Formats: sequence, C-alpha cells, structure tokens
Amino acid sequence: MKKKILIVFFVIFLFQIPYILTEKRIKVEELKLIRVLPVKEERVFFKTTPFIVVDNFGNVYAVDNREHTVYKFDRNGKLLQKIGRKGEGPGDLEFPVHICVRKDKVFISDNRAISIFDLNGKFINRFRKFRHIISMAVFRDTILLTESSAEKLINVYDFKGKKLNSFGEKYKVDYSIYKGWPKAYIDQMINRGKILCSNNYIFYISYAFGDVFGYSASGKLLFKKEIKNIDFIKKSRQLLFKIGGKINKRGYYILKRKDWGYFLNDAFYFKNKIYLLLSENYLRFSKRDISKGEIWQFDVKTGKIERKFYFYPLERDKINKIYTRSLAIRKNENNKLLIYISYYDDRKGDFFIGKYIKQN
Amino acid sequence: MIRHLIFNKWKKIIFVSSAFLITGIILNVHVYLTDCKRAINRIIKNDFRGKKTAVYIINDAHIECRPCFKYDELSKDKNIDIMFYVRKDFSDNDIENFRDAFKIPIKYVIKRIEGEWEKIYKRCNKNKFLYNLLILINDGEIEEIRRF
Repeated sequence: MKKKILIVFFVIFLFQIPYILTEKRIKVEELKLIRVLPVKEERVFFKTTPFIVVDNFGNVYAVDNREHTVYKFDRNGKLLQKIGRKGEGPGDLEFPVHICVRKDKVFISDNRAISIFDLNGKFINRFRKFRHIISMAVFRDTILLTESSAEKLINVYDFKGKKLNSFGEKYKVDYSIYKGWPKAYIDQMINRGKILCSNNYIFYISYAFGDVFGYSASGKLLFKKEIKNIDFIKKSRQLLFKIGGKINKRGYYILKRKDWGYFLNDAFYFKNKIYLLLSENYLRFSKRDISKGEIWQFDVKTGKIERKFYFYPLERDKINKIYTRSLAIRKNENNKLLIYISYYDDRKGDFFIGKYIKQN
Repeated sequence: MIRHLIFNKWKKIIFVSSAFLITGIILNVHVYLTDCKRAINRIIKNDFRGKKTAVYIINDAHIECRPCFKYDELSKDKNIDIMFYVRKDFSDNDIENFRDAFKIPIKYVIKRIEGEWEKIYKRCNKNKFLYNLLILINDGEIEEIRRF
C-alpha cells in the first residue's frame, strides 16, 4: 500500500517538473518607484488614465482623453506645455487616444483625424479618419494604423494621409455566435492590440491573446509567437471564437461568459524586447495580488518570456488596487532602464504616471 | 376643469404662458423647416428633374459612430444616383479615405461643398457646421430631408 502511494506521489511530481523548471528560469524583479507625475506644484489633474509616450530627451507626453489635450512634462515632471485643445479645427483635438513621437514630430489620433505637431506643439498638418483606430505607430516615414472594419490588420499611410498599402491578417471569427452585435464592434474587440516597431521590423501584439506577430518592413509575415500554458488565454480563445456573445435585456452587448477581460493593457518595444503590461483582469482572474502591477519581458529572438517585473503605486497597501493603461520605456544616463506606467490608483482615487527604474 | 382654471389665478397664468410657449415653438420649427426646404427647392427644380437622387452633405462621418444614414439601403437601388458634398477643408486624401471607409464606388461623385449647396447646408443647420444632411430628391421634388 505504502509503495503504491509513493508511486502516485512520484508520478505527480514528475508531471510538475516541466512547470517548476520553466517557472524557475524566469527571473522576477521589483521595479523601484522614483517619481510620480504630475508633481503637485504643477497643479495638473488628469481626468482619465493617460496614454503616454517618452521622447529622446526624456520628456513625457500624456494624452488626457477627457481634457482633449496632451500634457508635455520634462524629465523632472515640470509641465512644459499643453498640445492641442478641445475643438474641431486644425490643431484642435477631440477625445485623443493614441500618441507617437518620431524624430521631431508628435502624432496624435483623436475621434476624427491624425494630427501632426512638432516637438514644441506647433501644428503641422492633419488628415481625417473615418474608422475607429485600434492602434497607431510610426515606422520610418509612414503611419501604421490598425482600424476596425478594415480588411487588413495594418494599413500604411504617408504623413499626408495617402494610403500606401496594407498587410497582415486579422483574426477571423464566426459572426453568427455574436447574435445582434455589429460586425465592427466584434472586429474591434477581437483585434484589439498594439503595433510596435523596431528599426527594421513591425510587430503586432494582440491584447486578448498575447500573440506576437512579426513583419518585415514590406509587410511580410515573418513569425507568430504564442504565449503558452496560460489558462486565461486558452479560455479567451474558446470564449471569443467558439462561445461568443449576445444582447442582454437592457440592450447591452455582453459576452456569454462574465469572467473575461483582455490579457494585456499595453505593450512596448525596446532593444529586441517587448514589454507586456498585464491587465488587472488577468491578474484578478488568475487570483494574483492586484495591489501591484506586472510587466513581462518577451524576447523577440527566442519568442519566450524571460523576465517578469512587478511594481507598486506610491502607497503600498494590500487592499489597494491599481488599474494600468499605458507603458513607455527608455534608458537614463547611467544606462539603466526607466519605465513609465500610467495607472489609476484606487486608494487615492486619482490618475498618475509612475516613473520606475530597473534596479539590477 | 376650465371653470376651475379660470378662477385660479396662478393656474390661469401657467395655462396661458404655456399656450404661448407651445405656439411659439411650433411656429419657429415651421418657419425653420419651410425656409430650409424653400432653399433646396430653388436649386433642385431644374437640375434634378426626371430622376431620383440622394444628396449627402457630410460635415463629419464615422463608420461606426456616425454612419451615412440609409446609405446601404440607397446604394442597393440602381435607379438612385447618389452624390456627396463634404466639408471644404477635406483634402484629396481625406476624400479618398472617406470613399475607402464607406466603400463608395467611383460612380458616385464626392465633391467639396461650395456655392448654393453650402448656403443650403448653413440654412438647414442654423449657420453652423454641425450635422450631416441627407436630401432625397424624386423628380425635382424633395422626398425626405434628414439630419444625422
């Protein structure tokens, strides 16, 4: 009898080995908070969690969607200027969302257009968009957009709005399992993600499944990497591709299973690594501590998660919750990694940008 | 009930003033609508005789939030000619992107708004660039005007 029990335990242990090995290989590190933006003296109060980007000088651009403007802070948190204001005219913004900084230009997408400014906030030009923009990136002298209701995953435009080409396949779904839902809405939900660019490659990261697609500069698919062994992602695929959604009694579009959310909130490319900002949905459903946020470092060459970071808001408190939105990374003078994360601090009831440093 | 109203001072005042208010609103709406219609009638009388045309005047459109009202339905009817007037500040690329997003075939003309149509648009929108307009014309007569 004892022998049998020992054999059973031994077999269970054998099954655990691959899991233990892979988990141990991944290093986990805490990021140190060095500053929170906006600093008190500037009297800036975000109305929503901002989308952020950092330029080569360390200036932080924060898009306040509800204030219809972009705040530009220097590296110490001093407010340098506001770019755009609410309106419809050239240089005005209305519900801005995505932002990119490339060389000497700032690109901002809002409800109706892509507006281009110089680094001092002077308006250069804009072109209108008639579809919902899921993601925007600037690659060389082109603007890459993922748009709902467009056939291809990525549409390429020049700076004046002329469409040059398009590439990439969107996720295909059986629309009939989403009874009564508009196709554009399904398209937006399934294909939500982020376009990232290196000097020579273009990446697309799916927020729902964490898949990483790599394209050449001409748009040829080079690879697709999946993050494996995560139940949350498996369940997401099953729900979005097989179970679907419906309209409830109040007329809202709802999924047929409630325990769902995006896997990622944002992603950022920096020196051959893609940093994935995990969503609070994933953390909550996988029963993790959501008083801290998590970032996974994905190696483009090996296609594997090689490091994990976690970070706390200004006040550490186990019952606090943080809801992250955006991520930006650069190196400081000492060659240390600076990581900017925008989040909503539930305890404080306010929106912040945390400036963190990787310690080791 | 009327007798009761007559003898109650405050109710009488409220009754009379609300009657004035309602009449005023009805008159204003009537004047506004007829004015807009009159202006449209002036230019469609000759040019749009003997055919069915849908004229869209687009201030701002979005494939999901603000689609072209009835466009899918009208574009299926081969007897209807559809034309679009867009804002003056639409660039050539904006027009092309608009055509691409709404899948508007080449046979339907997209022009920047000017002249008489611009005046009409302003008249029907109280001098503001605010709404989009659909004007459905059948044999030189207005069949429907819709703001969206």
